[in-house]
Amino acid sequence: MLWFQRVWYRIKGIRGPLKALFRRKELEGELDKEIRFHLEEAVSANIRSGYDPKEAKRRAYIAFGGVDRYKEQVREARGGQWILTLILDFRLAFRHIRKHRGLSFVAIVSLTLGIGANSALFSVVKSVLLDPLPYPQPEELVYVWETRNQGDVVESAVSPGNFHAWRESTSSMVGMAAVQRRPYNLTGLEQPIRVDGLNVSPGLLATLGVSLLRGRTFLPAEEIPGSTPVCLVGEAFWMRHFGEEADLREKSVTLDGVVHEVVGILPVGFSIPGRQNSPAVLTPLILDPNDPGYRSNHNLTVIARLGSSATVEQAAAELDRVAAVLRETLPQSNQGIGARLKPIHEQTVEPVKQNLWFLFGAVGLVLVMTCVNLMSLFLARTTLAEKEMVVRKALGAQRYRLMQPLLMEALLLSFIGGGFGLLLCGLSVEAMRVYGPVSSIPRLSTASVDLFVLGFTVVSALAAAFLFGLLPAYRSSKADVLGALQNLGRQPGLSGQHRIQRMFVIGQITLSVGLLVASGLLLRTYQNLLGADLGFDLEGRIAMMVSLPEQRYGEIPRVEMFLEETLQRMEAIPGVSSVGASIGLPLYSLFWRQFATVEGRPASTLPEVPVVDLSVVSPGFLETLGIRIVGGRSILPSDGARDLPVALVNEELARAHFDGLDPIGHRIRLAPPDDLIQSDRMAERPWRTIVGVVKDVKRRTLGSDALPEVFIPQPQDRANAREFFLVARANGEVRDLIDPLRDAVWQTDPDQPVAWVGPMAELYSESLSQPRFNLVLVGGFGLAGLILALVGVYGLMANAVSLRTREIGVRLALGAEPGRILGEMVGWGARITGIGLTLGVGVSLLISNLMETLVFGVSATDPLTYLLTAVVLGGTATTASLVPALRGARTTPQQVLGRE
Amino acid sequence: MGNTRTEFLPGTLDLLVLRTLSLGPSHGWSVAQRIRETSRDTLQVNDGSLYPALQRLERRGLIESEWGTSENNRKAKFYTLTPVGRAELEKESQEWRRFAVAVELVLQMS
Repeated sequence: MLWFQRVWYRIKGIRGPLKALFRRKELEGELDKEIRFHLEEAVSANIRSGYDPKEAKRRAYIAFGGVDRYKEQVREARGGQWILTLILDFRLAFRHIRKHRGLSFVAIVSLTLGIGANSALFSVVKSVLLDPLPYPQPEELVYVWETRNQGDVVESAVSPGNFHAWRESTSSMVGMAAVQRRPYNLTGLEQPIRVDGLNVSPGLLATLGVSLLRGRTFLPAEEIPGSTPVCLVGEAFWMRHFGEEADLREKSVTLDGVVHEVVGILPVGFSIPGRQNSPAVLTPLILDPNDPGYRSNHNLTVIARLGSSATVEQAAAELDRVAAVLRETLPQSNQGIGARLKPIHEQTVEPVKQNLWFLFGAVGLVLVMTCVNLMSLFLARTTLAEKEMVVRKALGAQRYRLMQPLLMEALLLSFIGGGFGLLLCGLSVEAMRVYGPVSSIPRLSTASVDLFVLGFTVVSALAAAFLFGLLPAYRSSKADVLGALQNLGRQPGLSGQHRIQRMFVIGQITLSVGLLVASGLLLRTYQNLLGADLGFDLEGRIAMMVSLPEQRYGEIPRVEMFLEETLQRMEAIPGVSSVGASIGLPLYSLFWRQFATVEGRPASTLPEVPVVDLSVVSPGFLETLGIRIVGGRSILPSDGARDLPVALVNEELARAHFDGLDPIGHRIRLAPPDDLIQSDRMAERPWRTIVGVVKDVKRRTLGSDALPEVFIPQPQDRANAREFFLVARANGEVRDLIDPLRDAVWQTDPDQPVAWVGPMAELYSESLSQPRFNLVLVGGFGLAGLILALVGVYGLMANAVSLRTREIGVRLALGAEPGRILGEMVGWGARITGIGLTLGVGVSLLISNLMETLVFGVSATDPLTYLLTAVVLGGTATTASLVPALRGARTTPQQVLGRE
Repeated sequence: MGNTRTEFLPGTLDLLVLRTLSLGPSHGWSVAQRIRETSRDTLQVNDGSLYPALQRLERRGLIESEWGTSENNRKAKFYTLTPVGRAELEKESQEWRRFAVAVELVLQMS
């Protein structure tokens, strides 16, 4: 027998089940005809044998056996029956969904919200936490930081000396490179623009494992001071300014006034791990061992790649040894300095990991609650097509056939909810990409609804369906044949399930307490942040950032002149009432930190030297922003370069370093004590007389505490700071000033780009975005959780009432007071709620420390919030249980009998 | 010979049906009759059980079906053995005979 003949006939045989699917009526008709033919022939044969027609027929039918049974067997043998039953049950489920509109609506809406929210958050978690970073073998990449005081958690940037020393002395790392942020003024194009650049050491690209799109990387000769300036540009930058087709040869850009030849193009979307933006240009990092800052300027970020056989522990140990040697051999510069490795994944996601998993857990919890709720509602409802079940069971159907319809209904509801949920997910992800805290959550902007998210949605829908459908399906499959025949109605002996249901409702209330408490705390936090005293005025204030290149502004008088001229022009703009400049802007995360020494109280060891935030300001800055002077005077135009060096300090500095004494009149110096660090730059750091005390200002975020701050007049700044924020106070509409302010700068210096200009209110709003995000999300869940818990309580009570209908009816008939029955039921409901509340409060308190990082101005165990939650939840739950209880207390005997 | 109605194991019934059809195309009724006649009335299948058997065989590609006209001009469904079916019949007949011989041997042992 040739094999393909077998296959051919097999294929022909498959026609059967296919026909069974699509042409059922036809097949049934044929089978019917065939069997009828058989029976008629049998009857005829019997008649011929001499039986009378009636007997003939009887014998024929007996000989045949049970017609329906054999027909059913033929159908089963036909194959494809299983799909038919699915389709049948599907239709049944669909009809049922349309019949019970209320329940279906509630189910679909809750599932949409639950599954949609879960998928959205999964998309975020995947993009932020799970997706591998876009470098080859990213698990080998680490950041290397300096630490102060062994055991201190704070990580600091690295000095060039340490960088070189580490690189030379370690063998467990196959590559180490340093990067340094280097913003540039790019000129030579239509408008001068500010670009984000990076100074990078040789081997950065090799360490990361990144290859260029075009061109070459830096040559060793180009890292020596004095070599021809070269640069690499980012792909986006190249596209925008040169075009895809442009030839790489003979292209150059002018950075800070110096012409740099472009030698290569970086790949699309290139960035340093952990940094969001793609740098526009890369320039060689030139480190000169003879430079005075070689060992004392800690301004490098170091990235290394571990050898494939080395572990993080090995490398860390090696690094510790090297750091110890350095501490011994170079006590002046390296006292107390250690080294620490941090895998890049940890570095980039650490700050947000807790937050995200917390949110993901919260959403998951809500979905579970939804399912549990739906389950109890399904249980309380009359079993699906009870009669149908009974008939199937009598025909000998297996368990799965009996459970199928309800599971089908659950699956159908789940997938409809899941489908809408996916839409909701898409919308939410889009919203999060645009409005979410993109700057604080790395890779949030790349979250998308891809196949993984789709798969997750499908799995969630399936899991949800089984979670809320399995128990009701099982219960309905217990179809009591005898009971149905006797038309007994509901059996009282189902209290087992009722007990489970009760536990679930208690569970829901518990979880709901947790979510509500969290929401309450976040709400209070948000209010506190909103009401936080900024220390300055927002209204009508607008700020502009300029960065003066060293090339043209190398001397202090030049900077002074630029500021004077520009500020004058700014003040002349109609609508501007006052102006000022400073190197630091509140709520903007750019700050200068300096060592400081108070005269008469020098620190004895390097780690103890106070560190302060430094602001170099022009007269008028403090007034323009409305920063209050609480003692002494502000910076005046009379504080010139040749006048007495002065400084202002803030209240926090007075508190921390003057022990409450009035600092005015004392002197302070922006340098560590002489005996700890020798430096040639001491002349630039004179003793300054403190002439005023300033009220604390929120420098970093709304929730941060104040740090010690020092303000010095710009003309007296010996270090020549060149990056400034120019602020103005507007009389009228703030946005109208944007263009005039930019022009003011360009009139003074046409080649000077304005990095950024915008109202202070925007900065404020942005600093609120993360807490707002949290509040909206958790608040939403809290609300959803509350609704679900209420629905759960309602369902539980309704079920309880319906189970005890007979008992209630009998008692009422015997003359019991309806009020008493009502009281009993409500009391029972309140007891259950009470148990849930107690458990909920207990659990919330236990895990309250998870919330610590997210709250501000309120304790994570704030009693008022807990009390309020308990009252709200308790009250609404009791009300929810009241409705069915009332109905139950009004049961009439007729109703009890009618149910049968 | 009593009227023992036997419910066959699906396998044996299939074999008997194949054999019957090897003699030529027949409809369900005539297959039932033939089995009854040739087994001298010992094998009295519940006629109805033939139909699932026929369906199974058709599904396996061992027989084909076609509507035609019976001896007395009525519409009936006729079944024919396919070449695959013929080969299968041969194979299973041999196995059955071997089985029967083995049983017989055991029964005869002393």
